[in-house]
Amino acid sequence: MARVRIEFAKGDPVRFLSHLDLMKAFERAIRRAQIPIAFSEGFNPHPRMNFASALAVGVTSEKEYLDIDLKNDMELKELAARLDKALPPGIVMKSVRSVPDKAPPLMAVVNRAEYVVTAELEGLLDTGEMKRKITDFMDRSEVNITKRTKKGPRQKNIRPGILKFEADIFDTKIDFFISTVTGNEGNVRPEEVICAFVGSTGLPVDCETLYIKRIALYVDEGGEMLDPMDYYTISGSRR
Amino acid sequence: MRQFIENRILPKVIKPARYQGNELNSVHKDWDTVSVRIAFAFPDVYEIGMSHLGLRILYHTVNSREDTLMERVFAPWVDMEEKLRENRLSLFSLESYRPIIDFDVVAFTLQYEMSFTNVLNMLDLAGIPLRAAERDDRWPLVLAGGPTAYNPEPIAPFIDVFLIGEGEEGIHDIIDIIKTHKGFSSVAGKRGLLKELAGIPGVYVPGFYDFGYHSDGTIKEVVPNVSFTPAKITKRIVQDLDRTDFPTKPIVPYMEIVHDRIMLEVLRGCSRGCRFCQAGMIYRPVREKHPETILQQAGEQVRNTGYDEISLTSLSTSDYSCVRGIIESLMDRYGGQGIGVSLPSLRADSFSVDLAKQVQRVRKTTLTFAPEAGTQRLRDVINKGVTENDLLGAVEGAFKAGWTSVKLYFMIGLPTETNEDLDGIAALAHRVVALGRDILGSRAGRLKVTVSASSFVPKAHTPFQWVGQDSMETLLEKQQYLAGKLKNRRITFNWHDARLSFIEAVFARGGRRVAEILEKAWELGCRFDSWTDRFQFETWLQAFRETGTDPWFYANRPFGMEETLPWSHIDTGVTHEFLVSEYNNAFTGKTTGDCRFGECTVCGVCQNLPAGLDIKGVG
Repeated sequence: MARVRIEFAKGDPVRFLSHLDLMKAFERAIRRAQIPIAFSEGFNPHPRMNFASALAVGVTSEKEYLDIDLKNDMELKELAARLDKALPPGIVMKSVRSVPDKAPPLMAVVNRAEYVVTAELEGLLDTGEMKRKITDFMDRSEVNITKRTKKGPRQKNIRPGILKFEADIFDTKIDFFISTVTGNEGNVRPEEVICAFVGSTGLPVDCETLYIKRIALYVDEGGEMLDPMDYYTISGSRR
Repeated sequence: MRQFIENRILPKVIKPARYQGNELNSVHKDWDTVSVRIAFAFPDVYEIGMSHLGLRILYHTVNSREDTLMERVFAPWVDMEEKLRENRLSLFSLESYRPIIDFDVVAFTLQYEMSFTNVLNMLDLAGIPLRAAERDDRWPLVLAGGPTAYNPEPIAPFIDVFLIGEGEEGIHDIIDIIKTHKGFSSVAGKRGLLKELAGIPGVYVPGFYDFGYHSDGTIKEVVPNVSFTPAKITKRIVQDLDRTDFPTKPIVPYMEIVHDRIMLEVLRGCSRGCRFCQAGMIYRPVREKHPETILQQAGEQVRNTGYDEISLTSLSTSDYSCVRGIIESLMDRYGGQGIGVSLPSLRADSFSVDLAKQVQRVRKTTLTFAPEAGTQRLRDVINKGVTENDLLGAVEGAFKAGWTSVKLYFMIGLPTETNEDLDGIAALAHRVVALGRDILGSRAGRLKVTVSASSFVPKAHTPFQWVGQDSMETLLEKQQYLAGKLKNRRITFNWHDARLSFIEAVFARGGRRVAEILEKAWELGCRFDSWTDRFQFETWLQAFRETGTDPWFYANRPFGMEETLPWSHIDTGVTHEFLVSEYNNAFTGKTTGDCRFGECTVCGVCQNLPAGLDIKGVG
């Protein structure tokens, strides 16, 4: 058995896929590419694939990661070439590398996500005022939002999960840069940040039509931001 | 347009992937280098439309022509409709996001009557005038086909041209004429185009036919109002399925659709001869594909789609003469790659259960059988050639093989039905439960028997076309009666909404005059009528009232055997004499055999049509 890590992008043509849709798309591409993927044991075997993080409907990404387990070895170059050819338009393979079989699951180690969120400004706003609002927002110790859960509405303080929050204004567009925690340490979604910010500042922005792009996922290890493609040894440290 | 919709509209609707397009194997042609542009319109949501094999076939066959492009459009769900109207956006195609009015042809497939209001709604959302008479040649030509086009009249005033029968050959004739006509459009106009199209076999131009009525509302005559059209339109048919184009590079949707797998057609038609079944009459004769063709098409589809399941589709796949061999070959070839084989519907006999055992991998799902009626007497009336022993043998085989849940499909309201027949349904269900308890032993706790009862809807071109539907009250009483008899913790009883079946019957047997009701119901807000939660019965009743129509006349009235039926000018190849004789056989309880396994039943198809019974497994 061999484990292969794949870095890919989810582009505009597949923006509205759910995580499940994306998983299926990979499963089918892998079958078309005739990559010898291993299957799980049990009554309902499925291909052994593990994604670093789920991406919501409507969100694109420049850097996503997944591990697949192979039942027989295959030359990486060959695998990359075949998969690249088999992937549907909009899902773009960026790089591949092999990782040790016992490498910890990506889902368990990836804990930082960065986003650029573009919104349409529906009124006037200057950059200085914007910066002040952000500073005020980040100075707060609590930003409580209401989440709808199966057990009814629940309060959640998202402030500790917001690591960076900046914005730039270009004419009628505004670009937010957000860094949040994800994975085992909790998960703050970019639209939660923007909606809370818009809600408390009265910014002229329509929260329902944000264009969200994830630009990076990292493993934060003691303050060092590691690229998931470089993070694979058993001990958890690089190389 | 695409950017605006993707950024401003799609984030606000449910299941936005319905409208995104861009799927693997979707065809994006250069708009300006083709002569003819067709929008294939499916009057229901994406996940239903994409599961339809006819769409896959026509999309492939038309797009394989260099001079033509075909793009897709589905009925936008109610939230999307609201957004389109709010933003004054017109209905657009999935491939190029172009407005539908930019196409030369909008081709609707009519799969069920209850999709008719969606057809009108889609025309309206596209900005196309509803009535054919209001459209000159500046508007796209509105074409329709599919099984429900065999009774075209309820929707005829809105459609320019129907193609009756199998579309994969006739569509090319239509495209050829549109292509030559486009160069000279100003000369001949729309009427000129329609005149030329009317010369194609299988093409029905409703505007060239007038209906005369008797004072009691029945039809006196259907006559052409021009000299150049035939009195009867005979369906188009494919002769040899091995030589017919079949898509081996179908679109692979991203979102989950109803039939999310390879659909490999193994045969067309069914000659079992169930007397209520429209498909069994209109798709005759039975034509099979050669196993080699199937294996080749399976191979290409596996390579091109990456699906993990091959479904062998047809009206009755266990009747395929080479079914065992083909299943074995497919499993040998693909089992090791984790690709399974599935069968969509099973006859209620032990042979079929053996097949199911053969294909099932590890997953144990429910097995479904359709005995249709509860007593042998009634099964003889409807010519359902399944005996109680067949069914019990099948169920026994299923339980022994490890299945713990079975579904039984029945129809209520069938001609001559009495309480005894309903008692028969209950008795059968209880016998299945008892059998399950005996065989499953310690696992009987998982035993589940689902009984589904749909309501009989008489359909055009069947031996039961003359039969009036039971009144809604009667159907409701029968459902109640049956529910009372099926009280058992192992039995789940489902039934169809009788009100929906009633409206369906109005359109299944209605003529051109019911088109007015359709338009009224649409105006009043009816959409997605086949979706139980969207169906607005009161609104339909209002439409009947406001148009002064008596729905009973179409749904419940027995039609006279000599009456001119609304579809009498549409010819399926099956003769009037055969339908009459089958009708009479039904009421005397006489069964009729299947011509594949016995003598010719002289239904007329092989005598009248340029195709015959084509079995690949013998000789």
